[in-house]
Amino acid sequence: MRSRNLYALLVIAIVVMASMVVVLRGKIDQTTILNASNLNSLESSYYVRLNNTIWQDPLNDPSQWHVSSSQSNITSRLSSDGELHLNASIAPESYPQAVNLFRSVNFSIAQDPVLLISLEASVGIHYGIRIAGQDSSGNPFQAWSESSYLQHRSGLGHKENFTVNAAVEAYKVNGIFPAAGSSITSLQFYIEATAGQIGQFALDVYRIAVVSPNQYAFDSASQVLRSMDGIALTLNATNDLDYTDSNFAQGYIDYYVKGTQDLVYTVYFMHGLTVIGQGYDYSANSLTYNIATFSASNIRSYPPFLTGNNTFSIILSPSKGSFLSFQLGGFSVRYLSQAPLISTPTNIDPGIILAYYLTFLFVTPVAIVILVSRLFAHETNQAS
Amino acid sequence: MKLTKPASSVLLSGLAIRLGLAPLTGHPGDMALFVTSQRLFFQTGTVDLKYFPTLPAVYYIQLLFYAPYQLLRLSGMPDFQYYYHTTLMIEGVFLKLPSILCDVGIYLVLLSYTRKLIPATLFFLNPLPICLSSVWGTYDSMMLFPLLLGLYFFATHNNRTPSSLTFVLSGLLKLFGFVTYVLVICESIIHRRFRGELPLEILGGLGITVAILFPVLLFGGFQSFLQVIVYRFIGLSSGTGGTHYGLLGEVFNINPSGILPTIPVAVALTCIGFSYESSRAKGLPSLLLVKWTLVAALVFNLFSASEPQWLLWLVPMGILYGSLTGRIGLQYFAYLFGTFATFLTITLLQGTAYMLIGSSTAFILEYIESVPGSVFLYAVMTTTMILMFCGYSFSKKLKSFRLEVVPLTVLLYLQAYFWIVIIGVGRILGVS
Repeated sequence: MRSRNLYALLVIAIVVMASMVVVLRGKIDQTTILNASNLNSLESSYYVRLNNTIWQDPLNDPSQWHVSSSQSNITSRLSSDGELHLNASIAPESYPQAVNLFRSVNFSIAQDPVLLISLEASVGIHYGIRIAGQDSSGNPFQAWSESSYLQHRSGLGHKENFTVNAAVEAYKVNGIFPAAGSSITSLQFYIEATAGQIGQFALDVYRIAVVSPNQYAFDSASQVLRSMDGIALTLNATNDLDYTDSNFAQGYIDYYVKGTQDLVYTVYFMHGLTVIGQGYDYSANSLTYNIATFSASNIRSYPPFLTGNNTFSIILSPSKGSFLSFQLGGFSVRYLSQAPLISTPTNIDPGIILAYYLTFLFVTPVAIVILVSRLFAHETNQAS
Repeated sequence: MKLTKPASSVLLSGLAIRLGLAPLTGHPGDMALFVTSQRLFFQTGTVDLKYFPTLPAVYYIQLLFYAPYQLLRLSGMPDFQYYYHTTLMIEGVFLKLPSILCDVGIYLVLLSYTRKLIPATLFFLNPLPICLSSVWGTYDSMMLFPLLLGLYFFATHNNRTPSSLTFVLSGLLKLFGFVTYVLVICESIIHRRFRGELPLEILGGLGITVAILFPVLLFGGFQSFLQVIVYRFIGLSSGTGGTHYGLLGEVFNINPSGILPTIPVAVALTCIGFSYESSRAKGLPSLLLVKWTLVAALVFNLFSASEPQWLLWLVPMGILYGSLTGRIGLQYFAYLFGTFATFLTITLLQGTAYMLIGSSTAFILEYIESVPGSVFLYAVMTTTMILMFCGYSFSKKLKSFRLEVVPLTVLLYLQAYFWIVIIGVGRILGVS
């Protein structure tokens, strides 16, 4: 009888709670969450193609290039025939050695220049690419840093393709984008040998082109079949709660996508020129449905093309390969009154709370278990 | 079942510990996912089944428990922000309440099943379930409660079909629950129950699954459900992209590219082992089901892309199997295992500050948290302890428990800490 009452009570409780779910749905004031989702929140969608060539080095005039070595006992030779060939003979030394290949260039940052570079470095050697420029007053700035993925790379012995946005590289180093009127003025390659390394090494440059990204609008609800170097979705979310970027909690986007065999891409969530969320790396060489999630804790890079100021956008950007087809399923961008913290707090004095935590989690349960084991030792004896 | 005074005392102590921890702690990432879906429902009316990051049954249950919180808030109850947690304090308790109550349910099932206080206490006052349900806020207990309830029905009521359907409910809360259901189906096939229980078990299971999943289909989330939950669980997709390859992968630095369907292989091997043993037994002794569910939990944890909370599956299964077979050593080792797994998880994988104050970059106990090779140290220690768990589960020589195992485990940790953190052996060998 008692257990029947218990079941009845359980059923009544579930029915009451379920009624509350139905009645209270959407009835609470919206104070602690903000959500931008569905296609009504989509302002525009466009894909990017890197097909507007501003400048291209024909790679047939070695006099444009300057070769220098860190040591006089390195012999190097530069030749060009529509491709640039740098060969270096490195004698063993107790310190690292390098050969630099440099040329002057001049293209305005206002064109959002993206460098497309194809090269091949010998196996065993390390190499890198460095870009520098100057502002309208002639003050120089670097667009590379030692920790960049473009530095101290291992030669693979096969062709590699790079897409490098000069303004983004400068931003990564300096924390600000180059001022209007700035230009890129130098391009440098180098190969470097570690201490004691010996042998003949080569760096072959097959292509250097500077392109400006072109944007093409498309209808995100239907499938677009094109070669695409990036996809951007601009949002028109209203922010009644005055939330800032630090309130961004997580976002989702689902879509059908297909790309080239080597396609590797990630998803960014941008506010103007700031990345406020990023997803994982994905590949899709056949038509695939994917649901990508992005959050602030996953930010690790910057997209290679820029979006407009003060707009919110979701960007799908390849680090390798390109997209061949895309169709948006949906998205949701969520802000919380307190989003997960990604910076380190300084005003924490955890002494008492830590003691409380460890006492409740470990000390008290273990002490009670020891007590119960002692008091009920006969249970153990019976069993054994 | 009537609770004795000692059993009531243990129940109240365990509840007090959980309710004492729940408002002040939480896994900021996971709690943010859960609270977002709940706030979306009650504040905007959005049914978040398309992007809810886990099985829909968890969403339904959280809705049921979150509704009274919203009613209390409407009636003027205040709630407070504590440090950098993504939920408010009382809000967090309501989100954790289903798991906490399922812990209570498991305690009562173990008490009824074994008719002894010690096995039930070893689960209920184990730091691992306490941590997962009332600190972290994850929902493994929600899967384990119907699983153990089904095993109890099997053993006591001798009625297969309701028990099988309880296993299906368990699987709909976390897919591991389906393993025991598959074992029951295998047994029905082996014993040719084609006109008896088998059709009921299969049709009933399908019916419940369709009923639970239908709303997901309705709200356009079925493809993401398959992609993120099912394919990822069985290893046929990288899901959200955050693929990892579990304990052995970390220990031996195995990081194969592409898909790794270890779980279908693990399930198949478990079914084969179970079927072989079952075909030689008369009927279906419930002990066999408990044993092979425990084997599956061990295999899943060792060989698949396991997550730290999966370690909880071993604790009640080990305690139950130990109690049914008179393996005192296994019951107490399950307790030690849970305690150590909690320590390793909160120090080496997250840092105490993460669940305590909500910061993943602040370290309170730096010497044991912010250490090089922490994941490798976690994987080595956890793998070693799972192997010891296997020994206590199946070796005839390890039926009793010796207290020396406790200092031995501490010494193992100190040795591993010395070699991995101070000497950097993982880095030298290129595995971490």
